[in-house]
Amino acid sequence: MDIVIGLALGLIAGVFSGMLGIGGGTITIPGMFLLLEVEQHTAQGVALGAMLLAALVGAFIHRRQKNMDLTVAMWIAPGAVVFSLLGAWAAGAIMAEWLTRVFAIALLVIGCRMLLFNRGGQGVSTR
Amino acid sequence: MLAGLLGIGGGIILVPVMTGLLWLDQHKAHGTSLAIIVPIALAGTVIYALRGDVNWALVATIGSGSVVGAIVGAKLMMKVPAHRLRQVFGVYTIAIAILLLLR
Repeated sequence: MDIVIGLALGLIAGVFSGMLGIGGGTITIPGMFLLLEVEQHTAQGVALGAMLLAALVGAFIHRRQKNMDLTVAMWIAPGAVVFSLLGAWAAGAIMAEWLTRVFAIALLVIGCRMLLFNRGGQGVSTR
Repeated sequence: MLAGLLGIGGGIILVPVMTGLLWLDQHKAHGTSLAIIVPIALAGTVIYALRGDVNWALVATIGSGSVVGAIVGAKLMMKVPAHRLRQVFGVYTIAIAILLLLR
């Protein structure tokens, strides 16, 4: 059963990842936590591992469709990696239940932002 | 930072920054974001793995589902308006956040 849930979570996360250019952690982490009762730290570690695979494939397809600006990627990636390392290190020092709360609040902010600053006309229809 | 701390990729922050500040079009921002997520996720995974916080069996199941989903998603992107998708996603994240906070 856990395998089915895992595959389904991955599938949904992958679709959103490929379509919105996000990693999918916002879907896989709460999914693992709520449905599979995985501890928050492990859920985050697994999410990053799974995301690595999905992002590689997604990036490859987008590159083929010429939906990628490599110069911008080169400028942003080094800083992002440094902060990712720092963040991953910091997460280890935070207790799981607090980490879940921080995660939930981040989700809340992200969700509100998405709904409030969601300008239309950036979709395919206007292209 | 959020990526490593919370295990999310950072695309949620990267995409609006690229479209808003760098004037990349939405689709290009998505592809570029994924390219940046690859090294972010790699760095994060290494740190979590060193601490023993990675369940590799779960990575395999969720990862294989994700790969299939990512292929479908990347192809579908050209057919579905992004703002509609963000609406669905926004409602979803708020619902999950409330669920997590009430637990």
